[in-house]
Amino acid sequence: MKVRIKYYAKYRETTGKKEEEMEISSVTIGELIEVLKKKYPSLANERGSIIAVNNRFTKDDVPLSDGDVVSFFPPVSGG
Amino acid sequence: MDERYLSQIAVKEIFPDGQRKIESAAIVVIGMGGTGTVIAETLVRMGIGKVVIVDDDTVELTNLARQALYEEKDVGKKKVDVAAGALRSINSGVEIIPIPERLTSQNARSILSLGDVIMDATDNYDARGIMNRVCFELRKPWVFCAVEGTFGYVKAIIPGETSCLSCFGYPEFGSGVACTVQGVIAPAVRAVSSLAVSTALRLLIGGRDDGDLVYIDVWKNVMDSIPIPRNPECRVCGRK
Amino acid sequence: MQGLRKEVINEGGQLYSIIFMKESLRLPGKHLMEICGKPMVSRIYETLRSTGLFEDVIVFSKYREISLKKVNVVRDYSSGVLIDSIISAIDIYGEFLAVGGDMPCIRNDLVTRFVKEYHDVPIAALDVTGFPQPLFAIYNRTIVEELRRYSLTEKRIYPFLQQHFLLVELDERESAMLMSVNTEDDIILAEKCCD
Repeated sequence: MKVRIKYYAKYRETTGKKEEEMEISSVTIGELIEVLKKKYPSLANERGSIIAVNNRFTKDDVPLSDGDVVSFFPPVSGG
Repeated sequence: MDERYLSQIAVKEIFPDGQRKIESAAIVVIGMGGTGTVIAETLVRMGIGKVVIVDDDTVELTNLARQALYEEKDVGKKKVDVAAGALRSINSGVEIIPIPERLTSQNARSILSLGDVIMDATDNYDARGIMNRVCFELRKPWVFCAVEGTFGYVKAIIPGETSCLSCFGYPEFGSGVACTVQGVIAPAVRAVSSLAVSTALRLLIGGRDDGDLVYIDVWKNVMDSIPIPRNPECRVCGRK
Repeated sequence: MQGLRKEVINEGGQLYSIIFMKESLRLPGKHLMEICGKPMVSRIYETLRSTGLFEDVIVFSKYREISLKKVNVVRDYSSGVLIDSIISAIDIYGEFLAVGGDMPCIRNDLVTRFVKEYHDVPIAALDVTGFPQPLFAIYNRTIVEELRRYSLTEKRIYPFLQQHFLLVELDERESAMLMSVNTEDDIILAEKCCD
């Protein structure tokens, strides 16, 4: 199945992309994150990322469907 | 009603009734850095009844590129003292209470109980973790905000009604990355701070907010909101 | 703030006791002055703890810096007067017996008999002069929003107690225990209440 992944804020610099389409077998969000961490090693130590599926916050154990748009946001601490 | 607020009273979202609520409200601003100074200044200009400002830091030269209220002559002075002076000159009708301390688990209950709404203007995860937990214990509504580079977040947290920081796994420990390392630009600070203020006003006037996580990027001209449902198993606000 | 906060009444029915103190201009440092060998506020603290009636006893202090052994001191950051400190304490602790940090003659038996009169409606002691005593009263969240609104325009708390609290009459002996120490002479008088 195909999913579209959109990167926000510093994740665009980390991955070098604004967004990408990925062909992937049936996975949960958590499993997709593992795939992305392998593809972009600098994401490996990230904690607290915010993941939205079709613009809704979704937890790691939810399975993805064909055509889903996954948005990947970094935690931000500054003020 | 004071003439000085005429332009905001004319806005239907405010109107005289809203202005009355603004003038009888107390707001605590935790942190007087980039977001804190802009938030405090805006609230004071709009006539909030009482503003408590909390920070143990002193003014540094690098602050001036993005923080409001401080000038070159203030470098080396205590932030809350300089800010209190500046805020009182802007609006002498507002009660300004400076607290020259860092928010800790020991003083959090005493400090956070002073306001009707609490503004997050901190710069690290530890402080936000404390705010998230103690605001829930005290049932205090608060506004989370964070900014970095050209991008930032704002979210209303109404204990018992909306999701909290823990519901979506936002880090609650650690110092995060300093602004001098990660970088941040003044327009991002101001944009995020303004959204935080309008969120606080909506809480004071209407009392409601869905608790969506709002994000904004001032360079890419993007702004949107992500609904964050409450997590029933949340470590902080979930059903026990 | 209507509709903004849900009332949290007594989740767990925990009654605290809170000793209020702020720096005195008339007798600076009075709370730490010794009465029969013990700092005044420590004496009050121990009396309250000895009743076994309270979830915890807390000294809610406006002193910038204070060091007291074996006493639980919490900083009161509220600005304004007593009514503002009380509101701040209700926000934090919910339900408590308020006591003055300068009333060293309070005894265990008075506290016990007073708390027995409390059944969820806020109560205040009425001394022999006919005045309700804000610092010998039990506050809770049922009146906090009204007290907050009241405090926006009126800082004297007595009329509010008269109107909204159940008043518990004290006799002469009990009223004398509520004496507050404000001068050097009062310190000498207070020494008479030591056991």
